[in-house]
Amino acid sequence: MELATGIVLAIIGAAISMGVAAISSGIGVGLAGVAGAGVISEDPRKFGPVLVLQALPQTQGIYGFLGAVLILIGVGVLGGEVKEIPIGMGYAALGGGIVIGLSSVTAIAQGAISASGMGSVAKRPETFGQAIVLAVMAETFAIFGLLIAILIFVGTKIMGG
Amino acid sequence: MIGDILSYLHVNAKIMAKEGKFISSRRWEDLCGCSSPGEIASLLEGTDYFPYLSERAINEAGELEKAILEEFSEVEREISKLIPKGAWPIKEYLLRRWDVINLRTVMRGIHGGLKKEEILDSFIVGGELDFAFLKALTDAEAMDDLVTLLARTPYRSLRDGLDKYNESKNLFFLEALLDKIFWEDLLLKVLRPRGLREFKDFVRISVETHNLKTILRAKDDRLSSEDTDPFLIRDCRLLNELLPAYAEEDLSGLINLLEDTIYFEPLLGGQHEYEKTSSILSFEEALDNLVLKKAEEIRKGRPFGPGPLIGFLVSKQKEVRNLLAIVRSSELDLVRDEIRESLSSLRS
Repeated sequence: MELATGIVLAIIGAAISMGVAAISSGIGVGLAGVAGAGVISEDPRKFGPVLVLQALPQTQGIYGFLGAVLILIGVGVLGGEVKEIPIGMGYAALGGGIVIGLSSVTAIAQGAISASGMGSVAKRPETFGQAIVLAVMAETFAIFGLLIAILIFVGTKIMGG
Repeated sequence: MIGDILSYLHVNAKIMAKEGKFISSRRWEDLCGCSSPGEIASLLEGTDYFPYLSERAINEAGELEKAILEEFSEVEREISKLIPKGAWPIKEYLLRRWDVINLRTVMRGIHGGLKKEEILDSFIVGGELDFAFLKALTDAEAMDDLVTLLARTPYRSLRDGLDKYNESKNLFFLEALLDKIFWEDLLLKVLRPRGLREFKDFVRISVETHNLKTILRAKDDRLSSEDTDPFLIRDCRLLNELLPAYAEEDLSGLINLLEDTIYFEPLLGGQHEYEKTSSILSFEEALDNLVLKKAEEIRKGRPFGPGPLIGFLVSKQKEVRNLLAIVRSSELDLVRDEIRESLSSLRS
């Protein structure tokens, strides 16, 4: 029973990591995409910078995917037999998944910043670099979230155990 | 919150892209040196105005002016289609402006005794009034006929200015009434939907400047306050503050009455110009510049809502007005510095 609970908690952690990150990135990319369509309809030559800015909120989705894969490998669901997972380790995997999931909500804000940046680039193409920097600022917290999750996984032997 | 952001994202990004295509400072400099419509037309190559220039526009200033206005009308029509449903008063503003412009064309045409074809040729497509209806308006031979034809439109109350017009043959009475109908109706409508705080602020300042322009023009024409009052929009805080005293004052006195308001400094600047040129346009330009400044403040105040849209519309209007001034100046054989002086501040 303990084994089953641990693995279930870990799988829920992986699901939260991927699921919340996917929703957040989807909204962020959507926000940026709506603005991008507005810019391109006016000036199709701006497709390049618009594409780069729209891609930025996707990274949180990648972090969510990475976190979920790490959990699933760590508990043996991927790449081998399912291990005996103590309930404590299951909670740790759940906690790691929640950290990644919640920190990926920054993708929504990043989408809004990217959308604004697209307008800025459309008006003054020379601001492309600044627009990227502003959008990347929101990314920092998603990276912190991923790092904390990795520390949790390493500390609880989900990774490298 | 996301809903608010999302509904304006597309249109705001589009208008920022349009702002990227505003005429640059260097091109303004070149435009100021033009001495013919053909030169102006060639300098407009690569801008959004160029596709609207016909063969006639290259040779005739009037046609060039029309082409510039047609582009402006098309931009506003395009934007009106992208405005979120909840912001319908902005859409009405964008479309009905062109009705007012076309109605003014008819009124000026009738007043100046122009031929039906000449009036028809000056129309700019883009408003809510059907073009066939506008065409029918050109059948009017007198102002009374025109007002009768408008009986089933929102402009029916133009009949209230008819007697004064017929007495004085001063078009001011009808033009001021037309503007009053437009702004008063918009002011009523903009109060209904929730949100749109920025647009409400813009309409309020536009109403206040409309009232001030009407009062200033009336003072310049030495009209009495009894003549002017029917053309003022009553639902205006500034007017209510001015009302007890403004009738007794001359132009300088009126400006002094505004000392504690945002209008004082710009009007004082306009007064210096007025003393030199005796043209009321200096006040109107000062007030228009103030509206532009306020629109910029509104834009910066809420970059995700209708703020950028309002900022764009006022800036575009300014660009068009400056271009039209250049086209008109080119026919008057003015030197570059004089043309530059006649323009409102140039935008980069």
